[in-house]
Amino acid sequence: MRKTPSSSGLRRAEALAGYMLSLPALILMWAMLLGPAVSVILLSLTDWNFGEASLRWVGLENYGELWADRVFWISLKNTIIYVGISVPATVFLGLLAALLIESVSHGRAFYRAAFFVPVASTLLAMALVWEFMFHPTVGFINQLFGAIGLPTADWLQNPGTALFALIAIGVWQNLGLAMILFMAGLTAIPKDLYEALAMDGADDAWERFRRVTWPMLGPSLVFVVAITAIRSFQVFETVAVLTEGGPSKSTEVLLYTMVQQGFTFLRSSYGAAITVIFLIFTVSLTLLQTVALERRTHYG
Amino acid sequence: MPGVKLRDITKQFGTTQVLRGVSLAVEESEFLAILGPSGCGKSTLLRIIAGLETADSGEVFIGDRQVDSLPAKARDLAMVFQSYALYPYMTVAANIALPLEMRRLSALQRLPFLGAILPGTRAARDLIARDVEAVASPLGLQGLLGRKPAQLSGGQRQRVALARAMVRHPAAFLMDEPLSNLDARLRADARAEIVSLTRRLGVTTLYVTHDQSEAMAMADRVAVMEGGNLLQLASPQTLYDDPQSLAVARFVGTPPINIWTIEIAGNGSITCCGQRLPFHAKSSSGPALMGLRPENLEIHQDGIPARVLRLERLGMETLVHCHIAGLTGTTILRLTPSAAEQLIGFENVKLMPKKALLFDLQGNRIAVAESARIDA
Repeated sequence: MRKTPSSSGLRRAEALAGYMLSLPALILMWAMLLGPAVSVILLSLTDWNFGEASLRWVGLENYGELWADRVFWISLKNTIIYVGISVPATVFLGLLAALLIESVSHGRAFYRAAFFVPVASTLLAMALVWEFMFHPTVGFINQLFGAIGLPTADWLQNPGTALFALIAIGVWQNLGLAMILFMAGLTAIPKDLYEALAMDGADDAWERFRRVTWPMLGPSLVFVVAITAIRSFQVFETVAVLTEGGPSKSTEVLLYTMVQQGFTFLRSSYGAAITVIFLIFTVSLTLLQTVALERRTHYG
Repeated sequence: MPGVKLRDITKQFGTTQVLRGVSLAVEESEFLAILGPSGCGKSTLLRIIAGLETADSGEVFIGDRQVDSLPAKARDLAMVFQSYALYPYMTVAANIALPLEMRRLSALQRLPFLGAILPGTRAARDLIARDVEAVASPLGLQGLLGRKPAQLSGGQRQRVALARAMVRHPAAFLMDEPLSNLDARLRADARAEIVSLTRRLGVTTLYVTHDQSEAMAMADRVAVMEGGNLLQLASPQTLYDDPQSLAVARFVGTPPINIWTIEIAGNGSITCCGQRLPFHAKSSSGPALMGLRPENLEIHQDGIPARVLRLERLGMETLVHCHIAGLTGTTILRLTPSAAEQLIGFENVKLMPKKALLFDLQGNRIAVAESARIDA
């Protein structure tokens, strides 16, 4: 096609239109997401505390302090334990719930709502209810366990059990989301695959799951794991309301440490450094998810 | 190869009666097409035979075995689905091998890692691989065995579905509109392939379709269904020449049969638009319907006046679309190209039927006799 002066002018006009049309979204993205992220990263390289008049560039000094900070490492360890247990539990139970509800012919809407209510409700309010449930003497859990002979404990006050109590609350809260996402994935599986399987001689639950359900849920699984992991990493309310990082720092988690340092002690640049660490984890999880899904769609 | 027999199958979905007491018998090694418009119950019938649905009442026999209480996998049938239903995350070879795996390996042997180390598994799997090859080569799939279904074309996927059905050497094939997802040119080739395949294997085949030309071209006999009823079960030619009901006459044949409103007098003579026609009804009188195939109409001076609307030139024949005053719809007649060219410039012609099918107003066949031709 012959390049006439008007055609290159047209292309420039089109490109300009493209930029102009994306401008509102770009502005918002920079103002709300990228801008703050960049400024946090920059802040972590200074020594600024909230309210000070001046700041000094200190490079990686904050990170050096983090490296030597015992509480930070405990916090990181607790967070990783929290994520490492709650994600598999949430995904497994969410998938189980989705499969069970899909197999039922009546009452699906009820069960869906019942499992999803925790996701939609205010965690703060629910955390207080859980506090009553975990009460060592009159709490529902200890009363139930005592009645059926299971060991009881002072769940939230015992450093050995506190984190696991919070994990239980976290799983309870996120299970519904995993379930809903899996149900969307399940309904997308063509029914005639199961029929073909029945004709081929496999109509039991294990073969159906192994040959059709599990492979077809692959993309859903990757998505659910990533979403659940990111949400688990963001654990904060339960810690802030129920344990405040204790007992003996057994429930100290990354975001809680960050809020303490950045907003309670007003050490803004130190808090920013912790935030950057948090950001690295979250972005890595998202990248992993994207890569895993890309590989699936191209080679799957 | 046993035949398939259905006795009085009824099925209701909610308040809709989908099958109203359908009975039919498929001979051994016969290719039976089940033909009908959407919603006539043909797919439901096939699924009842397969075991994917249960009938409300009635019996299904494969050979002389009553199979109603048997699950799908125990009926020794193979099904080709409209969407092919290939397992997306398994290779072509694995797709074809699955029926054999399910049948020949025990549950323990089928386990992903554990099964491989059990004795006998490897030998069984080698045998399975050989059977897969044996069925893949005549269908031209040997080079595609390592691919996943997403990497295949529509025609290739269809052949994989066929291979998966064939590999077990079942008692009968059930096919649910397997060609409707292919484009027209592939469809013609696939049609021929399926017919030659089933003929060579001698397997009883039940083939559901809504495409009457497909059913007519492929089947030994065709079962025409409408509204949950079996209208007629006969060879394609019989359905064409001797339809027992108006619905069958209308459904079979391209272009569709012409239907003229006629009047039968007390003595059996027939008139249309006030003009006498060279046919005699053997019984009944009053208004009735006359079915005329496009090739059974000719231009004749004693015929009924009609106005030529247009000519449709198909190369080997020309279809003449006409309108007869007093009749609704268009009348189409089939002429040789040379005969049709003589009509150019003439808007008004006279049409005379050569052979007719008579139906009462309820659509049932009435016997007809041809009287002597009225010559001027």
